[in-house]
Amino acid sequence: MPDPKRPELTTLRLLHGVASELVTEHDVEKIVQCVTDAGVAISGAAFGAFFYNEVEASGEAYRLYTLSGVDCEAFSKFPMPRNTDIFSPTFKGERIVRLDDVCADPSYGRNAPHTGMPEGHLPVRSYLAIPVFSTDGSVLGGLFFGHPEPGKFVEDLELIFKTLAAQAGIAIDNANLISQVNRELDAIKRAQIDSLRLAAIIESSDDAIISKNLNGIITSWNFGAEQIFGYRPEEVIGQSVTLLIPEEHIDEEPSIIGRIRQGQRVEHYETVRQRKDGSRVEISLTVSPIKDALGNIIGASKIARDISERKANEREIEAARAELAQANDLLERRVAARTKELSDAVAQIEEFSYTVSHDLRAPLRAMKTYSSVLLEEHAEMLVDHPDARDYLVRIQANSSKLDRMIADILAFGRVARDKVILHRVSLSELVRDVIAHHTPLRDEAIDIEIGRLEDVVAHEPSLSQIVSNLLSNAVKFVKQGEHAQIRIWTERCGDRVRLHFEDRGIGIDPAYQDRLFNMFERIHPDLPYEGTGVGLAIVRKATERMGGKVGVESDGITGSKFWVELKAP
Amino acid sequence: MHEQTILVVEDNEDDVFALRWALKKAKIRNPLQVATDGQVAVHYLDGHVAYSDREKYPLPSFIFLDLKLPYRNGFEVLAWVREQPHLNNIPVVILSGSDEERDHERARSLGVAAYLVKPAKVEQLQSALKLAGIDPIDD
Repeated sequence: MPDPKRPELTTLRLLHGVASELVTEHDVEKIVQCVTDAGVAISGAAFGAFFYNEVEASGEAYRLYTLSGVDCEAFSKFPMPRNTDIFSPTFKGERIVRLDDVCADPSYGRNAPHTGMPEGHLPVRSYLAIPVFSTDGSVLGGLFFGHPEPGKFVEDLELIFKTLAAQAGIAIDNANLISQVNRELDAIKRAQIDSLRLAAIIESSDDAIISKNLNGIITSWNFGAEQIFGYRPEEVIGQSVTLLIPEEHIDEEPSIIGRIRQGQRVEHYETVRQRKDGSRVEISLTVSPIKDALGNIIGASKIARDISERKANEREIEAARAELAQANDLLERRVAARTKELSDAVAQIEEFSYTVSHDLRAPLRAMKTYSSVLLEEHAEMLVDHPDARDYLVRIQANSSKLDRMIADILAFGRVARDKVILHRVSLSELVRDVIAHHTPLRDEAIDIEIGRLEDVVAHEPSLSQIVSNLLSNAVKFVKQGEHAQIRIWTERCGDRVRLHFEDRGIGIDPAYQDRLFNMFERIHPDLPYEGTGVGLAIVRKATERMGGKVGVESDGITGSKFWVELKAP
Repeated sequence: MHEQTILVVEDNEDDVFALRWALKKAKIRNPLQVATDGQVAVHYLDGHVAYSDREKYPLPSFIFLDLKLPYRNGFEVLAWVREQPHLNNIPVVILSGSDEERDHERARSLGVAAYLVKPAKVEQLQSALKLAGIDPIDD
């Protein structure tokens, strides 16, 4: 409160109040407000302001201000004061400027585009501006005071304001220092927290994380390292890392350190280390250089992962693979041996068939020849011996029958072993051809109705065998006194063609149908239906070798329907 | 002029008998010489010591050749015959118990005049012998 009787006492009180507040205040904003307020009170100014330099983190300088005696509104419309002739002595820290009438000063109004105070500016006549210095001599800002009437600020005020400005400078310096210290402390705290977090991560890792200096001396040792190698941190820190390296791997360390010195990393290097108990542990090692703040390499961090289990698995897999390969090899050799055995057997069978066709048939031919000679050349002798003639006829019939059986077996052998090459075959032509070449089928009494016949994919000689066998059967197995009635046609079943042979013959009892296609299987008594029991076996074998199927449908009374299914072209 | 001789290379005497009988029925009356194995056939055709008498063992005008023979089989005999320029114009007809396709093929490749399967029919024999100009002679 100003005391009109003792103004110097009031001033002293105000200065003391400012001094005590500035000692405890560390907020720049509040400091400059306090100083500005005190200045207005001391000088009796109508209004006061403090403009101070603030440097942003980006390095760009700008000015903040506090006001006293007027609302902020009064200044908000105007640009910041610039280094005009009026303001520059203050911002440059040259001197205190005290003017009884600012409008009368020669430096006033030289601030293009302005020619004096901007319109609407607070009316200023008395003017007082004091620079505020930092302890290092730089200008922190300036205190500005004004009054609408001229000659309001006496000379004595200059000294008082010099003191006030000095106090303000120190307080701002202190506040800045404290906030800088606080910022640094914050940074240190954050770094500590980060470092604790990292330490926790390192400590909780299952991998061994070890640091060492460039001499290979262990400088840190996490829990993972303890678990893998069995040493407590106090047992190994300060020891050479070679403690962990088995003799046979000892030459690895110099090359690892060498790479680290060159700033290179060693990644996923698989090697062997030894535990405290001397046992070996297989690890995957990643070593990275550790640098100081200046970028100098001062050591290395090693991360070692226990890969014993993985390695053991790999070895197991490798062993299994080797075993498999060996088994495969053995199997292949066996297959090769078996294949050879089989092909030898096939060759033997072929040789056997050849022998059969030549040697077994020769005696039969002889029997037929001699019985024929007797019957033809000595017929007159046999006239009186009808029994003898009959025996000769029987010998001839039986030798013929045996010859047919041998021929059929040979035909079966051919069908079974001949190379089967499939191509498109015209069934229509093939069926007509078979009928034309088989005398028994050309009998006028035989009624063969040929329906629509689609082409098939087949081996022509095999298919001819099939058709002639099935047609011969249909002609042979007719009811007594009837003639053969046969119908042939094809039916498309997806990508297959089914060839049907339907007859009105004696039929096949369903009870025997499953045996019908077996070798030497004859389900009818010898007479009057003669056969070798090989024909249908040939049909089945030939069909199967062409990748087809064969079957029969019959009620055993009204005839049979045989079918052969082959691939459509 | 001597009658044209037919050489039969056949080891089985029953087959020789059958052929003789069939030829008789076919009214073929030419003289028959029989070689009972492949080696004998080659010796005969080559006029080897034992067969150098061409009066007794005349060079044949026609050969019936079995395939399965002792010492040298029919194919070997045939191959040998093909290498002899003076025998090259004699028709060789295979007369075999085998109707195997591979035998037919091999015989064809060696240039046989015909391939007959035993027992050969009278007409087959007659038409084969015609190749050498040997015809049936009626009584």
